[in-house]
Amino acid sequence: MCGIVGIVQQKKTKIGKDIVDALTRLEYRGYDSVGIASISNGKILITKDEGKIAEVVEKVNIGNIIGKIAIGHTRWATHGPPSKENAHPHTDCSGEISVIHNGIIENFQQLKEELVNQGHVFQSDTDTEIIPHMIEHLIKKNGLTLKDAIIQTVKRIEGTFAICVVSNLDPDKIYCAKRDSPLVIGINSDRMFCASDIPAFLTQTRKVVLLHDEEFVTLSYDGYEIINFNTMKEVIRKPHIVSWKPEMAQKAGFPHFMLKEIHEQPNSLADYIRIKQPSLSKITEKLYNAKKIFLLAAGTAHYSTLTGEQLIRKYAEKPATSIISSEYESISSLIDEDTVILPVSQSGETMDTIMAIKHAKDLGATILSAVNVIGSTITRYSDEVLYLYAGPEIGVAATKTYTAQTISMWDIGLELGKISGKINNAEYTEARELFNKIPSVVKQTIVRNEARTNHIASWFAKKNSSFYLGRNLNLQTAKEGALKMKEIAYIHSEAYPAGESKHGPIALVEEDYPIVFVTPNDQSHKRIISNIMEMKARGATAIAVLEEGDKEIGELAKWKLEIPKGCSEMFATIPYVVPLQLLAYYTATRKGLDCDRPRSLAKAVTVL
Amino acid sequence: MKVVILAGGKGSDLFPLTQTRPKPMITLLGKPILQYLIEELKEIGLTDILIVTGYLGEQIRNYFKKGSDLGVCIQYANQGEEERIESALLASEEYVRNESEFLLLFGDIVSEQGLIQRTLNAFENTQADMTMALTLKGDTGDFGIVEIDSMGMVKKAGIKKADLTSMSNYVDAGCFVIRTDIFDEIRKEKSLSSAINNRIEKGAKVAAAIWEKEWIDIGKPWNIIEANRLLLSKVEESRISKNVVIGPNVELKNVVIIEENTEIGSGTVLNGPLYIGPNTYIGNNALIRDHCSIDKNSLIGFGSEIKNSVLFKGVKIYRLCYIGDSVIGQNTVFSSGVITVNTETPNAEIEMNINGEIIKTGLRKLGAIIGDDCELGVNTMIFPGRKIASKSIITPGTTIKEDYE
Repeated sequence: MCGIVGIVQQKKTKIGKDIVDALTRLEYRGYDSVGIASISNGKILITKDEGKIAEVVEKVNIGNIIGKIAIGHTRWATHGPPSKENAHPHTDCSGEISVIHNGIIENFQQLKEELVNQGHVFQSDTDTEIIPHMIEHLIKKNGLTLKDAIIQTVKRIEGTFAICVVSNLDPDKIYCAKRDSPLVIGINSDRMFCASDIPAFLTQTRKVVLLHDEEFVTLSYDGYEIINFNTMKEVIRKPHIVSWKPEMAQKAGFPHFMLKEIHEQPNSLADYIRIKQPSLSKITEKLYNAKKIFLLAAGTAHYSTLTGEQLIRKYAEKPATSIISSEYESISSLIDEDTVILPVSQSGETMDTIMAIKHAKDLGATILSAVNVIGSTITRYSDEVLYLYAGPEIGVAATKTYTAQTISMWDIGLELGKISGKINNAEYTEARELFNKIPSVVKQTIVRNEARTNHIASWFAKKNSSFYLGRNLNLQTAKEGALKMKEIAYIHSEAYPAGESKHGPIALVEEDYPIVFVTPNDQSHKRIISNIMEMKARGATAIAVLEEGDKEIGELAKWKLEIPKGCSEMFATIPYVVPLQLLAYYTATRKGLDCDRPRSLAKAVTVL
Repeated sequence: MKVVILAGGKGSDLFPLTQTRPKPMITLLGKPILQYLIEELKEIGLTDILIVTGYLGEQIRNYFKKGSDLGVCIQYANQGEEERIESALLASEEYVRNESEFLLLFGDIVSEQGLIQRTLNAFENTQADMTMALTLKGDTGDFGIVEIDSMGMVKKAGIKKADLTSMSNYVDAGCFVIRTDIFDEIRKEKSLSSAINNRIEKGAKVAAAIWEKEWIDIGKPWNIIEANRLLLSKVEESRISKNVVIGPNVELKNVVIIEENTEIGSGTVLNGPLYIGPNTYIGNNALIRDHCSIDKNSLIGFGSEIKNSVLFKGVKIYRLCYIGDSVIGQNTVFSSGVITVNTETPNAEIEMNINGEIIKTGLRKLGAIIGDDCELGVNTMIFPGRKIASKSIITPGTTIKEDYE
């Protein structure tokens, strides 16, 4: 996964600064090296180096580059380690064609050999570098124009890509093409943008055109032309206006996007509740009539599907199974026309999920998705989409999109209960009332627990290992809390069903060992008390996420994180996770870590 | 940008330490807390500073003078006998008159580095009209609570006392960027927070700069111990200055700073992080444990133990004393065998009488708070959380169960 951006404009300005600004907003997509290509005095000028954007800007003065056209890239290494040589843009032998690329070219070894045999000299280990060389080859040996050469090149590539090409052969155009990797166009009066994601140019324009797979774009300062590069037919697509405000993509006065996004949850959940989606009733109906239901997701989203799985089983009384997308093969033999697949994703670009639903769709399965990013790949493969309306999420560790995914699962669950009759009318009305109160419950949860988690964090930060235990639905909350602690605070944390914890994990418990218990006041309350006792008897220090006023557990725990009353049975998986997000955040902060950019992690995993 | 630092408050909650000094002159690791702020300002290039003084302001003026030693340019204004923040602010009006905005700092905060820069960044990044730094505070405390929206913009400032329905857990951190045209409103509204709220109602954008790191407002005596701990925890390298004499079998652990002309007697254990100022004598077989700050010209006698405490300059602790979790004013003398008891028996949260009100400290370990120029006779024993006024003379063998005023 990488971030790409391009600008072409009428006037000569400090284009380098604009590219750096845009890349900075794409830094969540990759940050191990940075590069920019521009055209100056009829020549391609490449400036690139290894390091985070701020570091590279300091080393090689990208910000001062002046011009009318430029492309920039921030890399997250796949082929070849982070280095100056492997940083994009890459060029052909003559240095006339520069290319940036996000994705993975599967047949690059073969293409590289062909090109090397033709005498091309490669500078890097990347798969990307074959693109400029092949374009050069097609121009010089086959006499193609630049545009045709690029189209022929992308046709020969197997794998995933979003590419931008700038060349002094055609110095006022950016050529782009995409397959399976994201690419969007931004339109301004005298300048055009292309980028991996909308926030890149959100401060400049809100007029956006989303590109589909197998599309090729010619971008000049005053217009764009889209064609399908297989059929060579022109595609007419009008821009739409995104409603995100530019500052929504910035962290304002918050120290990290993650903290900001935790605080945004009352608003994002309220947005989800406010916007009534016609797709909801269609989705519940199709789920209710399905023979087989599989929920598909990766990472954090998987834990939200575990809530979904249990709710479908409970309210529709159907066998529903939540599968991690990369493990799709284990169920692929079960897919048929009576199957419903419910993928859940923030970005809608998770490669494992896309591959799985493509396969399932071919076998006739119905695809009903819950996705945050409108127009993303997964939504295009879906029969119905429930949008999450959480806004852009920049922090790599998912927070507000997790609660949005989870509330969408409860939304579906309530409707299923209504259809099936498992929830009667009075219960339904009551549940909907409580549902509408979730944003204020989450707000209260943040206000009451933030300082407390900050305090606990100074102790937690010294630990190497921890357990998160819960029962029933609360196990999903424990899993998500443990994932957050791993992802950003680099503390080993393992979630376990509380009842199962004595079959193994208990052997690791020693004096002052941290164990987080997720313990709403539900029917499992009594049983989890004995689990807490068992652990305390072995010296563990208990942190309990509990309902306010729960004296029984409150007395057992060293630290209490209190959730307002009323959400212990219904909707518990939403507010109970919030203190665990805060605990991970402050623990990472205490350790001096940058929780917006955890090592080795990327926001949306768009490679397999 | 010009800077205004408010340093004129009386700090009566810090009795007896503020009997003889203004709060910002409380000295930790050899420097008044105000100096840490000025050094941070200098580091980010803000060198035009107005310090508004009031209570015992001449001590601040005499110490910092025109600021040339610190590479900054300091001017002074006087808020007179007025205690309120608003009167202090109005005293700075003249100084910032020709500016569009200025940085306002409270002179009694101790924070990890970066708070000021964070505030300036938020001001710049959000293009807001004003900015206020906010931080988290625990369940207790009487700070002004500030409510923000999810975009980090301030909705309402100066909310008193948290209750369960409060919609915020952030308090103002004593660092602001303020528009200079707010003075008329301050005059009218008579308080900074209502002036800010007034602005917000009229549509101004006030951005929050949220500070997630450590931050201490020196409001209560035990905050001095916490601030000392914070500053020592950030010291990364030991330093032993010139003409220091270290006797045989002295054990040094962790980070230790020893300033010049100080002598450490044989067999003493220095278990850092700790700071020992210049011209100090530590006798034989003493035990100085973590998080101590002992200012210049002090003396620690044979076999005494000191732990998590702040000793101002010229303190003399004779043989076989124990000082734990305490603050000792300058030139105070402990005769042999003085003990500060630092835990309740049976174990309980320690309370302190602050201006006649019994306050829970939230601490289970807290020793004594002792003013300047006291003399404590042999075998004095002081109960936890008790205070002794400056210039007190305590006869030998006394047990201090109540504050001594």
